[in-house]
Amino acid sequence: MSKINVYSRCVTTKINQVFEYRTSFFLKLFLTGGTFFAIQFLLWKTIFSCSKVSEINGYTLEKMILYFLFSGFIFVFVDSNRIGIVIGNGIRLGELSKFLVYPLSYLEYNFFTFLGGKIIQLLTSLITFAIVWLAFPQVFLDFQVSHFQLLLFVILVFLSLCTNFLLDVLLSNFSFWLDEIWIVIVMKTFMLNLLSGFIVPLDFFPEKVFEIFSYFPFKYVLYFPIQILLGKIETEQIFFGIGILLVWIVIIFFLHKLLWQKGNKLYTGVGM
Amino acid sequence: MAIEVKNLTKTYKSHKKEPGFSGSLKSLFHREVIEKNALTSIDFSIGNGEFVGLIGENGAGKTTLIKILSGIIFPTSGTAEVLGYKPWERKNALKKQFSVVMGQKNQLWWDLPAYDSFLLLKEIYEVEEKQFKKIVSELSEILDMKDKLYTQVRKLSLGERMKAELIAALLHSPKVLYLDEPTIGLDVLAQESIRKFLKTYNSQAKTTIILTSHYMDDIETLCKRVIILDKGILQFDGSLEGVIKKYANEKVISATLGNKVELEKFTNFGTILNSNELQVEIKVERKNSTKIASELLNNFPIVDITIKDISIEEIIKNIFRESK
Repeated sequence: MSKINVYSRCVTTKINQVFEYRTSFFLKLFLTGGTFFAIQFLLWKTIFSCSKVSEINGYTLEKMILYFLFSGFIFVFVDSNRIGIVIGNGIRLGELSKFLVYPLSYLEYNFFTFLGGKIIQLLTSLITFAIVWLAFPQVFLDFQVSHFQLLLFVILVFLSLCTNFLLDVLLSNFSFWLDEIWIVIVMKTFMLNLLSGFIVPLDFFPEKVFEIFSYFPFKYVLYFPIQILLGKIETEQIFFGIGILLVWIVIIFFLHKLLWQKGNKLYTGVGM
Repeated sequence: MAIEVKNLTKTYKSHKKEPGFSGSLKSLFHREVIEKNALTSIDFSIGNGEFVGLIGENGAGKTTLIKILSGIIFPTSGTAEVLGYKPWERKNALKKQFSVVMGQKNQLWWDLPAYDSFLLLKEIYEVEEKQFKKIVSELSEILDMKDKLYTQVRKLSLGERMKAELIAALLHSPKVLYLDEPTIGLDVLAQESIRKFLKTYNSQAKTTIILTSHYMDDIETLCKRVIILDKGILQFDGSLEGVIKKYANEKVISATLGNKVELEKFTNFGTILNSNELQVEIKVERKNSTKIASELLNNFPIVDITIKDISIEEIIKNIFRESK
């Protein structure tokens, strides 16, 4: 498999690029996800102390803190908004041209360089996570997951990363028709934030709505993996989640192929 | 044949927008589509190892042609074959055999040393380790880039960056190479060294090269054959001397005078291009040039006289001016 070489080289080239900028690398290490977590932490602390109940919707304050802590770490890892903007701009400004002459598909190139960036983010996430755990061990009293579920968790998060990436790639194709797709990406981000459980846990939604969410990929980006870590999910449900994501990956991939082929007929490679 | 182009036409569609805010608002609902022919029924073929110059004004269709030949865009009608493949089918077998260098775009990673990009390209094009090392060391030696390969690309000068781009494009020893204004914006020395490099590379590697450039020096030193495009139409295809024969009906006689002469008198022989006290340059008809020169020698106190062709640049300018 000679493809392995080019894939791993895409990954390492991206990693090299990240390391070229040390300051930004170390800043990211501590800042991403942190701000949003701080907001949620203060918000829920106030809600709990004002309402004087020990549980809301099955969440104690500790569980809620843990929820948003996990949410911060996973979100940093699966977030792919930038790739949509980058590809979209590439189409609009003609940068795409140089990739079209490579004997390597643009999708493969983007996926593996994207993965390179994500590996770094994973490492930084893990380091921050370890630091938080050492500093506040009491928060993690509830954190008990079997090894097998943890393995399934890793697979699920990887698949939701792929889904999220492909979704952005799919949307970036609209650049062939619309030129400027910033708003499309913003809308997607908004949907993702709301439907993934980034803003509020999904079980706060009405039950009917919550059930519908199970068939869409967004739920599996954040809410679902967090629930695994919180020990609220049966193993069969995880398999179901993995199945749903695989189906979506196939659907989005073929939609992307379709749009890509149609869009390429319109591409003029401006500015080259 | 390395490249064969038959009846190639490309039409771009775009929409018209009236200026100002009201124009923008209108264009939200109704857009007038304008079609522009970038290329009209182009035919030519290029043999293996040829070095062909593609000349034309901005918007003449040069870049469109190169984009079609490298499979970046699809033609509207007609066909083209590069090494036996239709480029827009984007077969990997073809992609591994050609390269494009665009003076205004870079394929190297901006934040990384050029060598990192080379390593990535090595895998993309599946170049063998030994071959890769050999090519990098040879090319960087000739281009005097040996100690620049490990510096971030963004910190290189424009000339150095172009040289690095050239090495990157040649890593997989392409059989066909398209150069779209590789010397744009470079200083004279850098231009010259790139020109020299291309000349030797073409003769040694037998690469088929199409070059577009606005610098006539590039074309004159490198290309035996030129293709002239004007508003998407092929105006001329042939040798550089052919251009001169076909379009240069005039020669320039320049004379140095021993003492002052009334300039008026020269207008009987041709048009005066330049003159100062003891120096005059006149444009005369090509076929009469020797006769006029001897008449001038007989009638004026001339110390020195030369007859030369008008420059290629001048000729090209004339072609475009006539077509307007």
